[in-house]
Amino acid sequence: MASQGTEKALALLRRLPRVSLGNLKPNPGAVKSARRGRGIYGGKTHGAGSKGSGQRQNFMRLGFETGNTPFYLRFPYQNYYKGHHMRLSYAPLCMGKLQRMIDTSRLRTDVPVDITQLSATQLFSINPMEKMGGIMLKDEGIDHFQATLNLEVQWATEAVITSVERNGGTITVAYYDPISLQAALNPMAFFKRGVAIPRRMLPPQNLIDYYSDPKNRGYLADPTEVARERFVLAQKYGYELPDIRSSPNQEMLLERKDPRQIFYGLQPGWVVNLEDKVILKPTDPELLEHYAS
Amino acid sequence: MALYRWLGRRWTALGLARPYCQSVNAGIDETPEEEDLIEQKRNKSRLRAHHYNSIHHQLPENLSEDEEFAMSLRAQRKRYGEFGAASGINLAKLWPSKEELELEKEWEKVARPHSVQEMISIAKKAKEDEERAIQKRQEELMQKVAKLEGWKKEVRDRIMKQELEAQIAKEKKEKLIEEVRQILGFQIDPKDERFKEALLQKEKEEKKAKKEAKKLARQKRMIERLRQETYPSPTPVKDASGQSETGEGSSISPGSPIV
Repeated sequence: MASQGTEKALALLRRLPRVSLGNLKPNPGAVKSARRGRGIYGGKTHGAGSKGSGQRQNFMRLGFETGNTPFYLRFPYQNYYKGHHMRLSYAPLCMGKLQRMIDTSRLRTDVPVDITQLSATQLFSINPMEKMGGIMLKDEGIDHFQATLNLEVQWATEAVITSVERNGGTITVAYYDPISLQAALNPMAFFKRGVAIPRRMLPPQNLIDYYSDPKNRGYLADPTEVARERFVLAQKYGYELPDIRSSPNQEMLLERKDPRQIFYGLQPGWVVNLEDKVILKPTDPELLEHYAS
Repeated sequence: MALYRWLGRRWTALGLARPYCQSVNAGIDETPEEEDLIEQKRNKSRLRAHHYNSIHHQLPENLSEDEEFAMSLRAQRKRYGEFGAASGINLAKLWPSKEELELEKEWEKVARPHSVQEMISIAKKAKEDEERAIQKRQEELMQKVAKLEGWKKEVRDRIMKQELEAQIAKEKKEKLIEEVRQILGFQIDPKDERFKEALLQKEKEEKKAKKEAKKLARQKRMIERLRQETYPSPTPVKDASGQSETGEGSSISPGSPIV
């Protein structure tokens, strides 16, 4: 059956005590002593060699090439990153991780799942100041994705949309400008600032194409076209399109934000106070007009 | 002396120098109340006042007029956000002021000058323009590709022609050299002067011969014209050169003079 070595190892496992910090040690050579050596082998030059910049601890800086222009200074720019400061990046979330979050109750699916809910899991670091647009869904794990939920992310591909809709859920792709994104990522910190909820800005010209396309389930697309694309996708991938209207949480699945809205249930212009637990709404007509536009 | 001065400074920093009141604004000459004194004695944390307030989420005092004037809007809104109505901040300050609103509107006008529909139409138009440009280029390419074989043939022909011409010129030159050599009777270098003289002579002779030939041709034509004028015949004259040489009338014309 198993080799002698394996059998011996298993025997050891059975009889030895539990592994703990008290009976572990690092591999030889892993930990280098900070102490200076003494005696005939560690003494005299103490591992620093003889003379030269090495022994005199006057090392050349990293990248220095003894005078000629070093490699890291030869090229002032590279074309491959041209325009990087104008492009947004997104935190990746694969469908497998999403499924795991739901299964371990880290993410609740009885409410619409948007960037706020996903950020509340504290599993993502999204920094709008570093030109991050939010969360993008990735293809990995679509085969065993089984959750039904109302999802709103910032970028999604066809395969991902298929995997969500096949299970009776809905997915929308929405743009958040940096200020709105910062508010959405941490609503509590935002409310503590004591400012009115701002209006979400529209996407810039280079992204309007993506967010108004029904194929991507863009939040600016025509709902009828989106419904048609749902059907077309079901036909393409060969699954039966589930009827959302007959499902028990139909209301939750069909809940959508206004393009100018950041939080579900809160309008731009309102001030939320966590201490007194009140919502203050403006009455000035100019302000009302501004926030309603 | 110095020690007392240092101690005094320490006590002031710790908030113990004036044990009778917490806030800075209250007069030092106020009479202390029993309750306050007892409260202060209970606080053994040795924390500074603002640290203590921060940890226990306490508002020390509402802002005075001067403090309100000096404190920024942002900080005042934060104060409201932290403590709510108890902070005493005027709620109107929470929304953007007229200036702030103007700035916001201007920012939006510059950042997003177009409405959603306009942006979508611009994007669509850009896409269509790109498609059209690609199509146009493709069509041009198709037309050019259709002519490609013809161009290739032209190039090949041109090369062949050039080669042929070069070859003919070379042959002619060789022939000329040979002829001159024949004339002179011995092998001579083409660059030699005698050769050049002989060449010139030869050219002259050739010119003369050509002129003679031209003259003859003109004469023949004249004769033919005159003959046609005098004897207009419906049938065309076939052997004109033969006629002119012999000087007799042709066998075809009916009105040939009997000589």
